[in-house]
Amino acid sequence: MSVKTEKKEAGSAEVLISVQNLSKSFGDNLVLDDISIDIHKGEVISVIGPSGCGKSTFIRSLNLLEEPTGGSIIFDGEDITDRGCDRRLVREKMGMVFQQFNLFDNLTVIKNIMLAPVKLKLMTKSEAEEKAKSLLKSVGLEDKANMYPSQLSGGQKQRVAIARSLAMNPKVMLFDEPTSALDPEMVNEVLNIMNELAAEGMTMVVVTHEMGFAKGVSNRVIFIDEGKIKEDGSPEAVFSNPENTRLKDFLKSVLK
Amino acid sequence: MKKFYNSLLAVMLAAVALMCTLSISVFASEADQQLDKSSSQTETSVPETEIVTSAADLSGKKIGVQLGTTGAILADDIKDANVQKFNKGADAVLALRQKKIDCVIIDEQTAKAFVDANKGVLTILPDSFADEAYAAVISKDKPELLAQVNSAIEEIRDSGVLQKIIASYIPEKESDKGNYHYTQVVTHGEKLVMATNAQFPPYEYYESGDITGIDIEIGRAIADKLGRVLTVEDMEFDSIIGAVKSGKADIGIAGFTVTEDRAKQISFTIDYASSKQVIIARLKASAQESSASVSSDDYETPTFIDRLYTNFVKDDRWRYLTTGLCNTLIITLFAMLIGIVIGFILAIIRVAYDKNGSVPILNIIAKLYITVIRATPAMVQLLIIYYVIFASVDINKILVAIIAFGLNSAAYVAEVVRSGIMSIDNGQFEAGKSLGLKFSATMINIILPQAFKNILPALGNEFISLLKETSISGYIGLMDLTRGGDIIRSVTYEAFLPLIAVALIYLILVILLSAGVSCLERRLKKNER
Repeated sequence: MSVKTEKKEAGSAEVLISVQNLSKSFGDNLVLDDISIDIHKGEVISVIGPSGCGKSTFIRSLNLLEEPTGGSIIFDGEDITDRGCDRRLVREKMGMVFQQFNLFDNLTVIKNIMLAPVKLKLMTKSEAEEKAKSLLKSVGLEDKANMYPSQLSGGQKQRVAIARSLAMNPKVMLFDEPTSALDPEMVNEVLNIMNELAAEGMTMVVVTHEMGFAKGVSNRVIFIDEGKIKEDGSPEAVFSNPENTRLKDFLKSVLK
Repeated sequence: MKKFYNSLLAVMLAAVALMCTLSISVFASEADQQLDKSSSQTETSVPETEIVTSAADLSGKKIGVQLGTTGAILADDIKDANVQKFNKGADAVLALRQKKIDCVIIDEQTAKAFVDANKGVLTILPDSFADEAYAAVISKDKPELLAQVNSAIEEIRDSGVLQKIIASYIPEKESDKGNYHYTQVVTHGEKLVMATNAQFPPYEYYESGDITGIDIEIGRAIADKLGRVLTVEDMEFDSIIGAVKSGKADIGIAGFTVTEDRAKQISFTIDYASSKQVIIARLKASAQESSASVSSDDYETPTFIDRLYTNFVKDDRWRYLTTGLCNTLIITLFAMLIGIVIGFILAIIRVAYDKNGSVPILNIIAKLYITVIRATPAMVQLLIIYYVIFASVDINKILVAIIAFGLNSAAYVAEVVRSGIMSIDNGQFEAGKSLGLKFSATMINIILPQAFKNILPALGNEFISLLKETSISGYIGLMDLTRGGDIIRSVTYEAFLPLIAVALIYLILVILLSAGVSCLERRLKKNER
């Protein structure tokens, strides 16, 4: 974990996702209020904020699991909020890891990983199996290939879930509180995998409560509060010199 | 595994033991009755009857009749009478014997057959109602057919065939009995579908697995004159006029008395026989005993073995049960398949709407379908499908039953499946979505296999209900297991053994079905750990 990606300046690399004036409301409840942000290739962004601030809704809007009520999202040069855009194809290229893992309970570990690439005809069965095995090896679970999710610990499940998303060769990985449902001793095994992924140059957006990860691994931290991005900067800037008073309060409460 | 089979065995043994005890006790009591009745073949004087003694004595009494018959019309006119309408004449007679009612009003010849079978217990009162004429019924839309049939009846009557047929079944002298032998003249050609109710000896009844009787012989003779081939359809008596009106049958011959009300609905042919309504009453216990001396040589108490023989072995009567069982199984199996296929489709339509808002119009149709089917009785649906939807279509009754029960089951399966799908965590849907899988692929590969495991017990329950629900197939004249037992009951005049046999067969079927479901459940459970 000594691996530290060199922090890229915004604009120095290609913009992968450009969020423009995004808003989302559930009925009368405005959850995201006019959010704009550019996400560059290779960036590892930690999204922090108090609970209920809209950070989960923000990340779920990126792959349109939540349909935005305003604004647009440009992904890889295409406006994915446009009606004519095939959301399914968008989601193929955006991996997502959930707080509750959401492994397919009726399939073995290896079949969980192989299902989408094979069904979507991106790989043959044997290619997918090869890929699944090597991914399982990289998350240290090659011996669990033929087990069912219910036979795994929480940390193991989340590592499989990461492998499952990676099997699709995504352009960006979205993590929605990936360690929040884990017992403390399992948090690190998942964070380690995420560190390695970051080191390999994967673009990642991570909603997290792990301030250690936000500080140590990510090269950009955004603080969302009341549906708006209140702070956006390098971990050093956000953590050592917080300008926003809400952020100061938040950091005080999570860092003690 | 072993434990399961042991308990299964125990349940079955217990059931059989229970049935045996029941049967022995009932048998014993019936045997006692039989013993003190074994007498009264008094032909000399008018025997004393209890409760109802004459036609003037009917007001305020409990009168049994067969639904839709002239007897029922007459009984309705009797002041203060409590009229109980039975689907079958034989059931009314059984009720009379069991003292549930006081008398039965029914056609004379049929009454004779019933009383013959219940010698010493029942008798026909000397008073009778006015003479009435029997005629066949034909739809008012078919005047040509009516004219053809009328001239055919005239020909049969003028040539003496008609008299010979009646004499053969209602012999005045012994030599006439069974003297009419039919030889088929026309073997190919258009069908002439004749609706009847084979519970009405000697006009129409089952014998050795076939429907026979005066009306059947007349129907055959008419068909020959018309150059058509007769097909006999057995159904409930009160369904016959409807079947003829709707075109399900060309002609109804079932001892129909010409009445004004019926003539409004349907055309009557010229009459071919005459009869009258008589009253069957129960003999007084004293009358039953008084002639005990007459000897019981020719009226021996039947042993249990005898009764088994009469109900199941004689004339191959067990075939009614095996044929019925076979039909019940075919109907249930295919109805299940239809139910599963349509049920899953309906459920998926509804879930697709609930989760994604897609297919709104299909969703409304599915919802409507489920509501309508679940809100109406299966029997009414079966009758509607047979008599309304397929009114003028010549369609196999088993197919009708399969369609009716399949469509019915689909609505219940749909709700079971939908509840199963809704019980799966939304995260499973989202995970499939986030990988770029289509809704259908997520459904088939992820959601349904998990949902299926959860709903298996409920599905098993639905199919057990379905199996038993098919017992109403008899209403469209289809011989299922229940109807098979009914037919035995109508020829042996015994309720106990045929009903218990039918119940036992259903019990065994359900036990096997449940065992199959739990076996499947265990197999699927293996994946869980």
